[in-house]
Amino acid sequence: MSHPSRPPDRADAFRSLYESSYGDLLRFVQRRTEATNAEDVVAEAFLVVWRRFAEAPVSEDDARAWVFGITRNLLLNSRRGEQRRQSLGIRLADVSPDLFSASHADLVGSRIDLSRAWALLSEVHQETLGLAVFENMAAAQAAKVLGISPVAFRLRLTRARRALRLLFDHLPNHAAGVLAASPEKASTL
Amino acid sequence: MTSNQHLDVLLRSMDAAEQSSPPSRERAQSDLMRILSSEPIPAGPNSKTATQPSARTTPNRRRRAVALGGLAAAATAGMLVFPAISGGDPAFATWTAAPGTLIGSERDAAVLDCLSSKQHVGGGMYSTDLSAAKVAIAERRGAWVTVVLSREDGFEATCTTDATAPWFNKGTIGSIGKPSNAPSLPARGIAATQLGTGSIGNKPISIASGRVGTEVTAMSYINSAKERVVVTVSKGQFAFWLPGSELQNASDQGVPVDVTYTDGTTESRRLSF
Repeated sequence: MSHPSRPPDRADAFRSLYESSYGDLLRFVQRRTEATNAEDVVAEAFLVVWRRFAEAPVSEDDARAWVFGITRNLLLNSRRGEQRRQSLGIRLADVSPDLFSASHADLVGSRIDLSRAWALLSEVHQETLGLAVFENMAAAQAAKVLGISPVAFRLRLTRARRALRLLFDHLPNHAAGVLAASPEKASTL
Repeated sequence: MTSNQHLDVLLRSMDAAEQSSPPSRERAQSDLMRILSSEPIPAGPNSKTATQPSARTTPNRRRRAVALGGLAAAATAGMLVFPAISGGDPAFATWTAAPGTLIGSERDAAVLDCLSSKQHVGGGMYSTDLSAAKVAIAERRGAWVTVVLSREDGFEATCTTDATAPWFNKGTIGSIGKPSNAPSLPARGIAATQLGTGSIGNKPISIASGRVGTEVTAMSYINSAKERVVVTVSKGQFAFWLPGSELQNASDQGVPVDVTYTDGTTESRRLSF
């Protein structure tokens, strides 16, 4: 018994990419912009992807990086009216003092310290760490998102990790109740 | 000094996306419909889009029409035959008469692709068989990989796939099913469950696969170019394929093959259902 199935067309292929990456892309945007218009950004990004679908990379990992790269450029373009920017900073979740309790005091304290250290990182470092930690991307794919070489990405990641460690370990501890005196942001490279 | 691993764990616990709204399926679907209703535009050097200036421009991968030709499976065996869509090596330019063995991550990926492609056949009617099936054959001929999954009760699933095709366009040609009255093979028996010619676009492909008895150790087929095509024989199964349509009438007439046994002797046999 034969069962000829219909070959998927261009729309089917796009639908597959859309459905497999929608959630990831929404979170990518939510980390980098105000949550209120994240779905609008995702829709705009997928419209560009659809229009350029003939250029979609062969491998799924590379295609995901390609979609993220398009979305990143959309976000950068939307911000360039105010100030020319090369990188997208990443928001961390709010750490409310209300969450303090005896059993979780250390964890909340660590999060507050990290939040302060993160705020002092350059956007280049935030973006580099974000792709590695939140998007869980390998260097090859993260480099495609940023439009740089994998070697350059690895170098940036090493520097970003070092900068975050230094800030985290050497800022005054939150328990002392003393805020850092607004030091300049760490170097970008 | 705080470790990178510790900081990564702490960072992940502070993911802003976790404090944001989860995806709305309704919104996602309405956006998808709206996007698909617009026409994609061909990529060109003057396209004003948000792609990176350094982005690599890849060739336009046009999909090719697929026609199911004379590829047949054991008609009485309830086997389903599937045509392929393809992409990376449509002309079979990389095909080799002697197969290579798939190992490691390549093997894992090919098996996973095969399982995925068959999982929803017939509304999932073979999902139990697939989950219990073992890998009998995992071979490579150039860019193309073939996987045969089997069970002792006669269930078989075969997949031949262009491993270099784009992920969103990766199709499989093969079959799945269990012969309803599969006779137990004699020790030197050979029996096809898939034998014939299909076509991918304008390119015909001839495929044969099936079962062998316990004393069969090797098989080969002399193609129309007088080239010896080495058949993969493993775990009671065999498989080979070749570009072209020379197995077009094989489902009716059978096809001559050389069969080697455990005692080292070889004889010419006719392969048929």
